[in-house]
Amino acid sequence: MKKKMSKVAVIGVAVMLVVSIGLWAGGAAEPDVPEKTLIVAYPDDVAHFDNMATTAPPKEVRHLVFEQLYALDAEQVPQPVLAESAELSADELTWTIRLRDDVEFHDGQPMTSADVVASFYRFRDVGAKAWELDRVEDVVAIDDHTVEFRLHGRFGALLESLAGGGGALSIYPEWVIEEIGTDDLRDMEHIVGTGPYTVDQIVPEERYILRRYDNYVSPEGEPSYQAGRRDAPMEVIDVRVIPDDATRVAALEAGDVDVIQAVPLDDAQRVEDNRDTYIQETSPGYRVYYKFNVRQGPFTDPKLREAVRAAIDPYELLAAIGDDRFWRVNHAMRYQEEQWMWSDYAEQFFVNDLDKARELMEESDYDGEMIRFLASPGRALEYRTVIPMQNVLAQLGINVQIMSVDAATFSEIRAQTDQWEIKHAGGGSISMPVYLDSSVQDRTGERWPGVPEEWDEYMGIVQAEPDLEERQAAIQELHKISADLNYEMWLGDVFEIGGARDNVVNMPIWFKLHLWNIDKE
Amino acid sequence: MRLQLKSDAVPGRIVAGAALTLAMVTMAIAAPLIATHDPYAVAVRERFQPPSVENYLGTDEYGRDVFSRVVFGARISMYVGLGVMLISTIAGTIIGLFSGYYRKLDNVLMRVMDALMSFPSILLAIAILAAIGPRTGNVIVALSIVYTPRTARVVRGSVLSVREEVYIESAQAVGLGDLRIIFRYILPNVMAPLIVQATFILALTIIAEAGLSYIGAGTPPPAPSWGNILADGRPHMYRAWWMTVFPGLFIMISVLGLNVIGDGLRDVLDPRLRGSR
Amino acid sequence: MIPIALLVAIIAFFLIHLSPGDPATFFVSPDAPPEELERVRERLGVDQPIFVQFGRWLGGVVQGDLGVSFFQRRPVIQAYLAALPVTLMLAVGGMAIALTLALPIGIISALKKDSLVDKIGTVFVFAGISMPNFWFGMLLILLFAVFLGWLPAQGFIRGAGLGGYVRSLILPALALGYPNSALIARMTRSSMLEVMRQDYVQTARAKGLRAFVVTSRHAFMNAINPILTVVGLVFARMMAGSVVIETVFNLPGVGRLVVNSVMRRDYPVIQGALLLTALLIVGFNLIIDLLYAIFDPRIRYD
Repeated sequence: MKKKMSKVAVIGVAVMLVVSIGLWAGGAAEPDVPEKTLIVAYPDDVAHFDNMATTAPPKEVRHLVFEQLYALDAEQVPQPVLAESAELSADELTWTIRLRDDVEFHDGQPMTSADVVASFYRFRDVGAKAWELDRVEDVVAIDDHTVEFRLHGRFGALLESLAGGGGALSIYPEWVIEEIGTDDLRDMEHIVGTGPYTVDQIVPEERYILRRYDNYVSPEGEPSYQAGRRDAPMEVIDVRVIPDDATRVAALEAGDVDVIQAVPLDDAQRVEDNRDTYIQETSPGYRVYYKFNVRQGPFTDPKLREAVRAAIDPYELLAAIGDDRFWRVNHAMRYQEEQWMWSDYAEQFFVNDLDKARELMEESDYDGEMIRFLASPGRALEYRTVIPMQNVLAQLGINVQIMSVDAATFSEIRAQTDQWEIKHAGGGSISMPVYLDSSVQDRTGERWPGVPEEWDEYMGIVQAEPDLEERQAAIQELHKISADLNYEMWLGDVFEIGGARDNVVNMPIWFKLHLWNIDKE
Repeated sequence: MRLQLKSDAVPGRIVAGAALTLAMVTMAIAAPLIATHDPYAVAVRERFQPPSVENYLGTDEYGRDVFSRVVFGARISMYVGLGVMLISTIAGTIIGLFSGYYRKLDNVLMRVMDALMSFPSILLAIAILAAIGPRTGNVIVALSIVYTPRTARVVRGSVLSVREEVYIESAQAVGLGDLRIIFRYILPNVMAPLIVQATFILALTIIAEAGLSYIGAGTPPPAPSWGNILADGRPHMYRAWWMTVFPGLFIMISVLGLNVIGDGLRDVLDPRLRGSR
Repeated sequence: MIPIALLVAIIAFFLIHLSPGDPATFFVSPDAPPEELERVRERLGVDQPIFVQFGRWLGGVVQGDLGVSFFQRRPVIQAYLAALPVTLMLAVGGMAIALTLALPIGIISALKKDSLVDKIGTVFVFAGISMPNFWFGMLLILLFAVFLGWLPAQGFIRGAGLGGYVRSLILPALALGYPNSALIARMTRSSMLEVMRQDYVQTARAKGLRAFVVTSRHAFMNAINPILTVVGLVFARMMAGSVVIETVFNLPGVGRLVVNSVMRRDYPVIQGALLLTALLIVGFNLIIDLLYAIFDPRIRYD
């Protein structure tokens, strides 16, 4: 009898344990959810809100909380957000920026010059893109709402650098910076910005709940990319992290979420065909390209690089990414077709002529050495082109071996130029001036050999010249040089696709999903 | 006590399992003859074709022939499976024999084995592969490290029961060398559980290899390992169910064959082990 | 237990630091220049020599501090405790399903040995153990989410209440439970067969007790110890097997935590989670040993 008692006890304890674990895991009850709640699913974790210290996606969520002095509009022209106006001195060595006087932080304090100065100093220490402001000697408060950016070299592109997305100079309150210094912005009490939303709850890797800040005063102007009015019709924005593509789409279809970022290209049609959901494609937001190793190995020979480019059919390669509605051949450095994009690249270089390519091969010094093709499935989008690309190389008679590694290893190996001969690459379509340099240097920041001198001249113009059109012309020239060098082979740009339930309106169409202005009927 | 469960059906079961396994091995060896396409041949415009006379099991997201990829996938699975089985059996046997025979060694060796076994097997394999890089050969290394302690334990257990036997004591009394005793007299006595264990490890390895490739830690794409084909199919389940269903069926059939053999052998060779692993 | 823990810690640390790869890359955009990366590396402390890093880490571990996750920005222990219940519940749910399948099959197979039912049961459990559990999970998604649309392929949303929680665990628990039911069913069958040959069961039968009573009270309760051993084994296997299942179903459990951390080289989390999981398994084996003692008075631990 005693034995039976103990068995019952054991089973009872086990049941209680299970129930309590269940309650623990199920978590507390749902937080108070108002009717005006937008549930948004992102593939990436927000990770942290220290907007000036990171460029990792999804910066759109951080931009709900923190703002910058300037932001880019759809034409890639900087427009004021926290600033009111900016003026360059006659000697072009001082920018005077007037700040808006109606901006307040989430703690109710007004934003003043002191906050901007403090933010600049912290940015110089921890800013992800601190080097973009290398030419700024100092930032000085002139009065409560005026600051001077003092330069030690001409820097006409200052406003563009201030307007760059994630990782640019965001404005934090002075007291926060005094408390955290260069440490991570981690505690909720320190996440104090000027944006339309505040952070309410953080569950890392799972969920971020943002609540509207009712005293928010928006900048003026037609909404255009990151510039213009930022209305906050939704009371709560509930961000869910759902890394798995299929799961994210399923969540949208089931109505568990209102909006998803990054609909996989292969699922776009299905989301579109579904009666309850629709897709919104944005401008091509992601460029896909290849890099040759021109420091050592067979691809130091321009003939061989040219042979590869001549053999490629970019349409065929990009077809592996998905439906041709969602990508376009020809990479444009800035997506302004009429103005200053470079649109004939494909026509001129991708002749898709295997015979010509073989001729070029003959003329080159290539004698059958092994080509190591560095690739990573962790870079899902461009990785899709790897297998067709390998096919093209093999057809050409190049002895190629794919070195497939995970994303973390990929980023380490790509900096070692003795480890690979060709690799895929990808990145945002909008390149800030400094990023242009990356097309002529390796991952350690060292120049590839053979870059002509004009490169630096044009780079100088891009950095220093205040006149927008002159800068744009210079970027065009840089693009041409890069195309001739063929160190990078641009396939094209891929669109970002957002998906939404039918009752969601005002889905943005610029580059990425933006969460202000979105409304629900 | 001999149990009655050793029904007359036992040899039949082993034969059936062996037939399945043989079929898989044949497929692996004769892959180039059986496959209808080059498993790597890309035809981007033929993406996601459903099963047809041209592509028995349809095509994948690059327009590659799934049937041919599955057939060649058997090679990778068998290669990894046999490799792990050999290495972990040899290493496990040696470690098990020595640590069962020399009680001083036992403490050290078995502590290390315990430490290795206290990691969940697949997590340990993932961590090892992250360290040495995901390559087919390295999958063998990682899974061998993971499975060696199991074999070592089984062997050690048998050694412990054998070494107290009278004939071992008399061998020692006669002055035979330790190595001679271990390999001449003890080893043959642990062979039965060892063979059963090896069969199961082969089965476990095939599943583990697929799992590792599936989460991206194993044989890297574009190699047509079964796990890779399944991983390729995961984002396209709504569009291409054939990429999910068929490779798994092949895994299941080969593992089923091995499990049936293993279970049958266990009944025949060592009924005491029944039900345990 | 302490030497094992120490060994585990050392293995965990060096294994993960031997791997190439750079956690810093996950903090920046894919085409970020090297200056940006270097800055992040310094902030994470991964620019230090490996032995310095090891010393720091071990020093912390000894004081019970497992460090802070690079990505989650919270202590590793918190990240782990947030993930653990999901994995535990998954394993418990999987075990419930495995037992629900395995015990009846095992008992009936034993009672009707060599009958058609026995053979069908055998095939059923063998089919289960022979498939990769993640593939079975994918089949379930195909059937219930894609074709029938009954359950979403959805992962798991914390705070969705107990109902939503159970709903999101049904498919993964099935995927984990069925493939693992075989061992338990086989053991139940053989252990029942053995017990049923014993004198007291024969006596009970001779006394004319109803077959059900004989089976449940006399035979099964006495066959339970070997079954318990296997249940322990299977539970540990489920904890491990849940790694891939969590990836398939997108569940925020320990497995996905570790896999994600390996992919992103979140060293503190990988080391900490491996160490904690190892300790958990060691502890679990201890509990199983104690259960023996309760169920079998012949075994006593001093």
